[in-house]
Amino acid sequence: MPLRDEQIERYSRQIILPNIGGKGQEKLLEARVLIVGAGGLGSPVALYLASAGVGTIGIVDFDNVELNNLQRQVLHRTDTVGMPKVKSAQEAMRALNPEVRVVTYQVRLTSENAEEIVREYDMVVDGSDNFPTKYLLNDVCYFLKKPLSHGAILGFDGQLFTMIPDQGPCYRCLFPSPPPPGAVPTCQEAGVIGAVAGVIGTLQANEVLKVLLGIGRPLLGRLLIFDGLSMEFREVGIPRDPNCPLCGEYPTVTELIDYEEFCGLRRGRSGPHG
Amino acid sequence: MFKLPEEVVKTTEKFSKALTEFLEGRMNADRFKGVRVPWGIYSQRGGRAFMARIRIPAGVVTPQQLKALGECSLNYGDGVLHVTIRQDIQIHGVRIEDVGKIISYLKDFQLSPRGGGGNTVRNVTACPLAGICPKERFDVRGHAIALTEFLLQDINSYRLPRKYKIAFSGCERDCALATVTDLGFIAKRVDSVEGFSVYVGGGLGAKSMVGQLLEEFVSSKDIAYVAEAVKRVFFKYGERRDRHHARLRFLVERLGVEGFRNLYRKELEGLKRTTHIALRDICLRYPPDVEDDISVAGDSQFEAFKKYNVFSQKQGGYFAIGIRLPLGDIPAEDLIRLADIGERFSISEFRTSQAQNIYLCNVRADMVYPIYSELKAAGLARLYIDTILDPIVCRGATTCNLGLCNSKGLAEELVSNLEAADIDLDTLQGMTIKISGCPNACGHHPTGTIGLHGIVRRVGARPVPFYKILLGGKVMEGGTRLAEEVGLVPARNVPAVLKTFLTRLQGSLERYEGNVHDYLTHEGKHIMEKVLEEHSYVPPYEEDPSFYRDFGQEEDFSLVGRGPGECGAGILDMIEADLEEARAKLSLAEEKAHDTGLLKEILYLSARALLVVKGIDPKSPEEALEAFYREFIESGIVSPRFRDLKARFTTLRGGMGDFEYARALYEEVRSLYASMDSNFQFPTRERATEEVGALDLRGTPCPMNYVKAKLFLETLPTGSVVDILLDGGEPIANVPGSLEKDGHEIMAIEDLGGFYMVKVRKGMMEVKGDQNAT
Repeated sequence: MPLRDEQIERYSRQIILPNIGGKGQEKLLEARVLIVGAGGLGSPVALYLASAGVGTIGIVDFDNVELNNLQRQVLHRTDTVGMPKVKSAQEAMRALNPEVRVVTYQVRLTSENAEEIVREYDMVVDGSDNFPTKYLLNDVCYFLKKPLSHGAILGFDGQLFTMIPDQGPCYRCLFPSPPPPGAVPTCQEAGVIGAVAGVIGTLQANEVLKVLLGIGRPLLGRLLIFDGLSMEFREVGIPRDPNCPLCGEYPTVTELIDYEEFCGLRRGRSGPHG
Repeated sequence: MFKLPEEVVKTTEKFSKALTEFLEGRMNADRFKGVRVPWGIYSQRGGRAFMARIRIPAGVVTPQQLKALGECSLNYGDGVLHVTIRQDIQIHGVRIEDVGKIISYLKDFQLSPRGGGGNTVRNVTACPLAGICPKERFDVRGHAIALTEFLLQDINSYRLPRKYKIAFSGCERDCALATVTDLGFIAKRVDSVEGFSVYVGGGLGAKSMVGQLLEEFVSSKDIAYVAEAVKRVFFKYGERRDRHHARLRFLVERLGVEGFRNLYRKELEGLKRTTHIALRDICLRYPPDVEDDISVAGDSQFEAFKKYNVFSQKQGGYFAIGIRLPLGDIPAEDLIRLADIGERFSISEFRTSQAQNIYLCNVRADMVYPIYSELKAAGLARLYIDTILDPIVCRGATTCNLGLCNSKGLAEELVSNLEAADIDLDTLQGMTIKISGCPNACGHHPTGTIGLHGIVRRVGARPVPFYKILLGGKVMEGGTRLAEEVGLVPARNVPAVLKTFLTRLQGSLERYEGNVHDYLTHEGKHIMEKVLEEHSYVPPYEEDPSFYRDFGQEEDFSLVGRGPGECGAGILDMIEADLEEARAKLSLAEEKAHDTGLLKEILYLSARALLVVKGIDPKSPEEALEAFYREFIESGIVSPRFRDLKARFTTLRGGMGDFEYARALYEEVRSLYASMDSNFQFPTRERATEEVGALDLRGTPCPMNYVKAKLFLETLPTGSVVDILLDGGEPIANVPGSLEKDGHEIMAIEDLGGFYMVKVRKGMMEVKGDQNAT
């Protein structure tokens, strides 16, 4: 379908780019991206993908907007406090770009519903704040062969990398087992800077656009680490682990498991999204 | 008889106006081309002279019309007319300023070239002997003529995605080739209602296809609805960008015949609901039966003429006389003389045939001999019409912009060879020879019992004209089959091959009971394979240079000057041959521990492969590398990592690095070839271009004008030329520069007073950033 005049105008600054053009824009308009977590990372991702014209954006979050979220979760506003986060996110994205179709899932992502939801999308963004969800997303994306942008933040630090199934390492290659419960503090406990969430989430959005368009070099096999205090970016090469229980030569994880149990957590302990 | 529709008469004035504007320099040549081509006015090879293709609906033409055509050729053309395989008559060698005179002169004779070319409804053809053939189910002339009149009234008939050809056959023998035409009607009677079975998506060309059954039966009064509905589907859904896949048959292939039929049915329904179409009743005359037979004894020459050139009509006591035109050509004086003979004997109807001949119709038995005598005196009583001594041939490299081999020269040589040989036409009855100079099938080679088309092969470092030989083509409702390839033979050996083949075939056919076609596709094929084997050797140039020369040419065969144009099909053959050889050597080199000699050959073949599209024919590796460097590396088409190609070639030592280098060059050339535009080959300054139209961006501010221009260019094939209108000030200061930075070529900027016209040629977009590098 040829672009309409209004679309040409709205997206003109990226259409001008030689490796996007009208064809790239059409690709974006047809693309479907799932964002898990409408929090600190999910906010910039949702806003930039909506503004770039990604045609369908799914968003998963179980929580309601709380006042303490607003310090870093720029999708939400003071007057949406108390509203489900997915609704608040949908309003914000619609106001920004009414042509984007926003699909909301006010659920907790679990082994039971993950496949059904993820299946509908071309790519997934991990904006979650807890290990069970991170492992779950990694596994489900690997099984369904969906690229996944992984991101995490704490304090002034952040990190991200992109998993493309069978083309590079997965989260389990990097972290074969979760840290013992309590070893890593949550944002709730340790605190986080909103701007750091903005930096990492924005980089994730950039990764998504590149993968959707098939251009550039995604963070495949490379973990990018950001230190906001010393203001340094470091890149660490991460090889594929031939012994990875998920994507290695002799996988032991062949279906979704109980991730709460895997992470040594009792059910229901996962905190609000980062 | 056919009457020029009002629409054609009316637009004649428009054409004259455009011509005047062009002659006075107020319209540029490209734009005028857009006007003249749909008017059937083509430029001939060399670009100076023009050709006017006059449509002859159903091939029905009167002596007065023939005379008028002859006069035009004498007064404004080169004095030789040409009958085409679609029953048109062409006037060649016309100066552009005289084109208007031809059109207005012929208008009074109800003749016009309107729709003779371009993306239009082309001549609607019919069996050459419709209305008089004893075998036909009913006369289809009127249908073809009335449908022409109807379709030519609609302006959309002149702006289709590609040409639209329609044919009517009077019975399942399909003499009008309806089963290999875009839309074909074959006469049929169901419960004594006259109607047609309808075929769609047939066509001959670089990719020939047999038409598929669209309708089992439509009654005669519905044919206009059918043709119009198919036209509308084509208009709406046909491919307009890629000319090589624009014909109706590709749409049918893409949608599948079922999918196409669905769209067609919907269109047909809407059409029937909203429009009432009644075709004009064409008044056709038939002579009354008489009891008479040709009875002149004792003239053996006349007996032969009677046997080969005179055909009984279904009207008792009447005959059609066939005039064989070698290669479809007839001098204007001869045509006028022929028309004169007709007039003097009250012959009111002539026909043009798909075999590029002319027939006199309705000759009463007692007139056959007197007419024969006159024809003989005029040198027009050539025997053997429609036999293997009457091959169908396209114009070939002599006048065609696209031609590869001189098919015309070959045909002349072939006929004189066959005439001298001991060949029994009766045994070989029903066989045809059809020759195209290139794979594009203008000589209808896929339907020939023997088909030939020109290609080029390299022997040593030199190009050699070759022909591909095909056997067993057949046209018949339900049984149309395209001829199958048997093999290749150097052009010089074609006459000897066919002579030997026909002699041997004849020997074994005499003992065979079944039909020729069956024989050809089985035993005949083996005979041909054997003959080809005996004639396939090409001696080195030093031994016998005649193999390296085409028929009727003084110089060695060469592709120089033969623009890649829109159909460099033979050129593609050469590229593929080189790439294939390079690939084979690569795997050999891998086995043979990276042999230096092999690696050198790989570099040479890779460098040479694409040079043909630049009209360069290198004679040595050094020449090839030099030219490749100049044409592909310096111009930025090939990656700069091969800048050291020449040095590398001389210092090759055969290690792993050298092997990888050779492989990389081969891969790059191969992918370059794969990305080559099917229309335009390569974006170079010399290449032919196609005017796509204009984009008016006046009133659009920066940078939206640039964005829109960019988006528009994206949709076009590389090499397309677009005129973009821009405002003065910021737009004209910025947009051309930005487009240039994107790799497009700014050909001209013209100040039109208040705004500007920028002529842009689309470049090859180089997209930076590699996909998912690991």
